[in-house]
Amino acid sequence: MKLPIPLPILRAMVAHARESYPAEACGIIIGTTERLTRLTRCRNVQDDLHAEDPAAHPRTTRDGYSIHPQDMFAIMKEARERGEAFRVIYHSHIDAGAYFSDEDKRVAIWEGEATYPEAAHVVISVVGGEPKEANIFRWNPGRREFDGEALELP
Amino acid sequence: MGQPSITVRIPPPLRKLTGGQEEVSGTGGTVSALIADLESRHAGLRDRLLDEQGRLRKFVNVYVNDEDVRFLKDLETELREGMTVTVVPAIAGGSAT
Repeated sequence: MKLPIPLPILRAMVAHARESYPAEACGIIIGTTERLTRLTRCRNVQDDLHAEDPAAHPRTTRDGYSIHPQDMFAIMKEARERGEAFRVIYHSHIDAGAYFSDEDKRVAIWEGEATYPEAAHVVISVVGGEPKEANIFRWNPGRREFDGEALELP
Repeated sequence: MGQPSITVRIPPPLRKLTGGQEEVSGTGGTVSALIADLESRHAGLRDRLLDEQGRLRKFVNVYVNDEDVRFLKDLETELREGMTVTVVPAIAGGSAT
């Protein structure tokens, strides 16, 4: 299913990626099966994880993201109350391409299934502080893989 | 007195263990006891949630009502009749380094 991202939501996502540089931004867009309704910026707790245990969490927000679990839970609850679900999970890459990295896939796939099958993943490349390009990756249940497609930036 | 009855929300990748059900019921006075009870009917669930040392896996977050058990008593968090336990897989990643 290819839900279009409404322009105001797309702009909000790109603005978030730009403002967060040089840290990776992350957030979640919820919606119905027909329409995306709301974007929520999430806290990237990667620096906290790294400070606590650098061996287990070698990445910082410069090259990694972990959505604050409380943010995820709150958005999930809101979505459930509205009869909606996670539709897009987005994050940015800093001075790197808008690819779906092995690390991204490792978490997005669990037990050979999409961790959040109703959500597409958007990766925004931010180079020198400016969003350069973005790709959207949707779960393909037949291939058990994510199919990527370019996402035009506003 | 019997064990408290708990509603458990299962994330999509684990619903193959619950016959496709999003919500299942279980019993247990703690999260740990609840997981053991669920395992008796949904074999394989425990290993998906806990690591070899019997701790919650790093990318698995468990909520009792609205509270993350890591900020409570972890697996020993007490449960009462009618509570809801939600399993929420983490979302993380990053660029290739």
